[in-house]
Amino acid sequence: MSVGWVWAAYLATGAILAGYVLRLAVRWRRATGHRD
Amino acid sequence: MSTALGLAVGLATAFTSPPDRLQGEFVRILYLHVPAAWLAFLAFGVTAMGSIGWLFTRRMRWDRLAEASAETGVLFTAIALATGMIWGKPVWGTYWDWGDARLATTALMFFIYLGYLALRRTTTDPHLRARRSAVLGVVAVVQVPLVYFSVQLWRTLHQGLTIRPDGIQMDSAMAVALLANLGAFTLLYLTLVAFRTRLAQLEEAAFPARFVVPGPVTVPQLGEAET
Repeated sequence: MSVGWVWAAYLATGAILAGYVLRLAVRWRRATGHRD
Repeated sequence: MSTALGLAVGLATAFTSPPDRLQGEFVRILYLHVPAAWLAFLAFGVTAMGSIGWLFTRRMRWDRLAEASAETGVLFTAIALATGMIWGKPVWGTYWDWGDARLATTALMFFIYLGYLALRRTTTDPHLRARRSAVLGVVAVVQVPLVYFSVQLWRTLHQGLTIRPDGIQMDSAMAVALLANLGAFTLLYLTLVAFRTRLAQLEEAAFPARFVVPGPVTVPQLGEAET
């Protein structure tokens, strides 16, 4: 049995979470007056 | 900080818990899939509560809570769907099966709450937006019990309820790992909702043009002098 699927599930979760948190961080910076 | 610690403990228990007798290592996907799905249910329940709160009080804080929770719920549903598909391929032999009631109802719930987030972008009038989304926020929550009990209502591919009134059908070490991850996901949910609610407040203050009641639409007529 390949543990690759388990890693894939954890990586996918990490990627979805990281993408969302990054998006929130960018919006936060803009809303607090940072220009990018 | 406590959220990061919780996630670390969750990961540690997920990788030190024993492999399953039938599924082997694949069972470790459970510790992401199940907490994500449960927190999505909770999130959509909180959206319904925020919607009811707004309908009764007309206070914008309820609307912000409903929005923040819906967005976080969509995030957790996406995680539950992604991990479920990755789990399904090696164990069921397929990523997706439209014939399965749990999968189909979850997909429906995901798209309806995406629609909820889209509906919020259809006007810049804060009260109109709050009213429209509050109505949908209350109606859409009927899907939560529908998704949860879909495994009992239609016996298809997805397994039934593991935690039932007559006990938890699971090894105790696995139950501990599941509870640790459930705790970690709950902390993550609370952090994200708090952060997202604050962000909504900051954006209202920073970009007032996005939160105005639009005036009447005037269409210039042919031959009319420009003013």
